[in-house]
Amino acid sequence: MDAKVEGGIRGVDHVAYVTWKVEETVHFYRDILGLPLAHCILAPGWGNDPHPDFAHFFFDIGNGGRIAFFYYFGEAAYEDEQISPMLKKARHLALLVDTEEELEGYRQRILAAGYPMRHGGKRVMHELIESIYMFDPNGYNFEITRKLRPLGEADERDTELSIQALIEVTKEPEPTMAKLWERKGALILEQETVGSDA
Amino acid sequence: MPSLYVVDVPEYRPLWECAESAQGIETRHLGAYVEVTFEDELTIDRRATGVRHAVWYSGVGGTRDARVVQFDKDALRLIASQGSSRR
Repeated sequence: MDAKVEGGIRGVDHVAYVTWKVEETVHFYRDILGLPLAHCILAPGWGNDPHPDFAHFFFDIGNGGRIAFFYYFGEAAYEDEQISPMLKKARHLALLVDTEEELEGYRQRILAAGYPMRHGGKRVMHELIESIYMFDPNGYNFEITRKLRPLGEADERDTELSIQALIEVTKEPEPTMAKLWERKGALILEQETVGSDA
Repeated sequence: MPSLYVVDVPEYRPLWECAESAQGIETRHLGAYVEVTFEDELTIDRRATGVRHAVWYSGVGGTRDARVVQFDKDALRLIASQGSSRR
């Protein structure tokens, strides 16, 4: 994994959300998770544009990254009820830790503070990562994860073929997983070499 | 031949190892994948693989002349699809 990608991007500076629950948000991120408050901007509007007065505050998530929130004065709390539960669960931020002990430490802190966690508060082992999941006080989906092993050549090759097949299938009418699997199988047969290891 | 492709990484190894113990099943390495070929039907019992749920459901790398007819907490089952070329 390169420290920088071509062009120079080397990570996340910040990700920003909107909150109407300032106290709960500060409590969760600063007091429960232990993320230091890094910065706070108080601004009456935003230049000449019609814009509410706001507070924009940041928590340090390590390695130069920050998670930020806007609080807008005079804006009624808003929740898009049109967003399907599936999309609400899909959109998420995942923060990285290095060790199982650190992951378990966060799990214990969150449970002890009485915050509901997803998946019954259990750690979930995927292929390459192990994670815990929760909704923050604002209802934003939130994950903490650790890597189980580095990506290998077979993972990278599989990613290339998955994406090639996905692009092709989603350009056609009525894409399905079955069509994706079949297209990817054809690509594997065309492009991979018998007997070779990844 | 109807085939299942599984990416050749340690997490999915039990899938093809379980599959190849069955009669009429053959496996070969194909680049980054293991190709599991079968005649009419291939069933892999999840519990026999010992693969945990979050890994199990991403275990299908691709298919060839085959249709997935069951993929749940119990088993992955594929059958030869109609018009499959018996090469």
